[in-house]
Amino acid sequence: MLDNSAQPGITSAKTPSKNGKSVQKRNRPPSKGALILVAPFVVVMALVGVLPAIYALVESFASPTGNGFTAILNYVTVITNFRFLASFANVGLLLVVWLPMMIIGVVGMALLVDATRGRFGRLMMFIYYIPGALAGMTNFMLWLLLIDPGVSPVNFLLRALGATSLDGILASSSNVIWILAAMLFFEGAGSWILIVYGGLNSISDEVLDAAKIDGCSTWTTIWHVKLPLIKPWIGYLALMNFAYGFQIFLEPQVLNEVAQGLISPQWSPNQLSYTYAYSVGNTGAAAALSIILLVITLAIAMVVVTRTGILEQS
Amino acid sequence: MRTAKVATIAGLTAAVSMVLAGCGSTGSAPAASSSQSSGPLVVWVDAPRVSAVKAFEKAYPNIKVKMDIISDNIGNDALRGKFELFNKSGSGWPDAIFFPTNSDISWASSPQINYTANLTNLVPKSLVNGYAPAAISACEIGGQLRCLRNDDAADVLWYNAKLFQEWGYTPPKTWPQYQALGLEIAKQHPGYYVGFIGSTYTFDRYFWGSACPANTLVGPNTVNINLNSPNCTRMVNLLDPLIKAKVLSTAGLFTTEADAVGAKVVMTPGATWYGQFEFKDAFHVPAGEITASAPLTWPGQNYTGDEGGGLWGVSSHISGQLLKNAVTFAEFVATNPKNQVDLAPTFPAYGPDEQPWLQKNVLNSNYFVDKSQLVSAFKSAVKMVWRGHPYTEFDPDGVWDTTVAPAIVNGETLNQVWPAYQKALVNYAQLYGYNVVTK
Repeated sequence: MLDNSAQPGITSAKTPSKNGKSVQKRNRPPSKGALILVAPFVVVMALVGVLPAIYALVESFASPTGNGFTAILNYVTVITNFRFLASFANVGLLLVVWLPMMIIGVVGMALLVDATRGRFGRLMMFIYYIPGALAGMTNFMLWLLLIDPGVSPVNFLLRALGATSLDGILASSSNVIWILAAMLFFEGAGSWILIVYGGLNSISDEVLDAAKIDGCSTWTTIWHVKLPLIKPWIGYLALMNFAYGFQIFLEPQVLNEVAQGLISPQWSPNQLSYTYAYSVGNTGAAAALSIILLVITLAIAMVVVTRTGILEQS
Repeated sequence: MRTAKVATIAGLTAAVSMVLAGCGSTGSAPAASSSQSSGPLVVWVDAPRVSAVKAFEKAYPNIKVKMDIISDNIGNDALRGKFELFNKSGSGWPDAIFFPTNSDISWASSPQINYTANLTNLVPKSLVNGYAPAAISACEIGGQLRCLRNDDAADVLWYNAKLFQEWGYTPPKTWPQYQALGLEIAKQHPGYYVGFIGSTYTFDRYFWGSACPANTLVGPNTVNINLNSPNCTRMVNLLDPLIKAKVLSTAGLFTTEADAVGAKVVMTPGATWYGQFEFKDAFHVPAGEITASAPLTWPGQNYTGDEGGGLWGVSSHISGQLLKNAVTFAEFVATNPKNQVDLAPTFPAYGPDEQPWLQKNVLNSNYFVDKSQLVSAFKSAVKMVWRGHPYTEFDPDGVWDTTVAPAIVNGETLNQVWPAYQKALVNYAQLYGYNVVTK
């Protein structure tokens, strides 16, 4: 995910040169090699990221009949849609439940692995990673099997909790939030533990030794040394997962199919956009909703980036 | 420096967000007017219709067919999306198609998508007259014939004749009799069921046949949605006591839970395909127990509902020999006994195929009992389907699944959830561009 040079927070602003003089890295223009390396990404991003976004922006002002511009009509159509607020409320609730679960769970488990380096730590890392080794949708399908009391291998647990049918479980909107949160956690936690563990590994032994000499307990070291140093990783974890959760589409879409329609086909804003594009045939409204999602994601990304220093050089 | 840093951050976050946001749009454009007149016949069918295509290839070896299999998930939005894109690119349409969801015909024949050809002058009048008017009405849109009906899924009353005999009951003929017997069964034989109230086809099963106006077309693009009509509320008031008495299962029809309780179903209104696909294949009720009687009706109204029954469409983007081949194909798969009698597991909508199909699948079958009663029930039901419930781009049954079904599972009554259902239907109708009246 992250190459070492791009890893947040570990590159010193001043790097000692061979002759001992400090070199101001950030003022140096990028070399030709760096430009060549970054060029393929920039080209692909322009083609599949920036261009579609610009196209969506133009489309969002286009008339539903395909003739001329409509100013903000498409935006009004989308915002006044009866599923607009409900779908945002759904993803809002999901993020409130899932993001803390993800951040606390991933950082906590990465710290546990970090605290028990050696064979046991590696074993724990492997165990944590196992659910993530199943590709996203496969993991999701496995969960569907697990929560259906009719076929689940752990149906005695479900029945003990009073669940007798998948319909009964999915008919409750709060159950849907918890199920999605649990599915997403197991889909992503394994990989993210690896990434955050990488951040913890980058903390030099000198710093940790110094903390120990200064009398820091394990908890104090975690709280006052390790966590502040891996803040950019935590920010990255929060940003990427926020973006995924906020724009969630596949999981509720598949859940809707499995639940025989018990869950709204417009459960999330992205599904509402899909309905506009592919079911209603109003691509202007679909584009307007995409732009609204883009602006909100962008604003929150700005906050996370500036607060956690993902792109800071020191 | 500070400005430069902020600019870098803004640029990078914008880039990341754009990629993450996955912004995309398909745009919309009027259908291109390209017309292909030769080449292999491209047909799209769901998996159960593959044998029909193979039978056609055998019967017409000179017509080269290219078959693609599409999802048979009912209510799948993705199909319409494909046609939106074909219209934009001006190519890609199949020459003939089986619509897995009946309401697909509403968008496929809409002015915006305009995929299905007007078959009025392309198929012989005698063929159209072979259908019961109630069976072909789904294809008669704006005075034009826009599809051919594959099978008829009119509702009859299915019941377990063995249990009825043991318990000394006679099958009800009217809805009030159905309720009375349901409450009696709740009292005398707790744990048994008289129907399903969960997801999939529940509105169609109970309210279509009650002539409840949930999407009745009353003008061009104008629907009447009036769930407060006595035709709707009489059924609400009939079902609520049965739900309370726990004789209506809240399981969705196609769920593992329904399969689990299926053997405990004493009777249920249900489509013509319930005998084979539900009682035999899903509920595993042994042979010699199941039969059907005439549809339940309200006094003075001889209507029933309908649960599915597929439709065949032909492309409006082809001409010449290719169009002729496509029409030949649609006629064959929809009406020819080599498919409808010899192969199709569902009750044919085309009248002349009815009796041979019933002979093969009912009278010669060891599974059903009281076969002559079942045969006459099927034959009468296809003529009784209420014609005030067309296929619209929003499906009242789909909205039932997201609005009413979860509420019932959570313990609400139909009376309690009814205003929310009315509101949801109006919202969905407006989302799809319909004008709504509520009277």
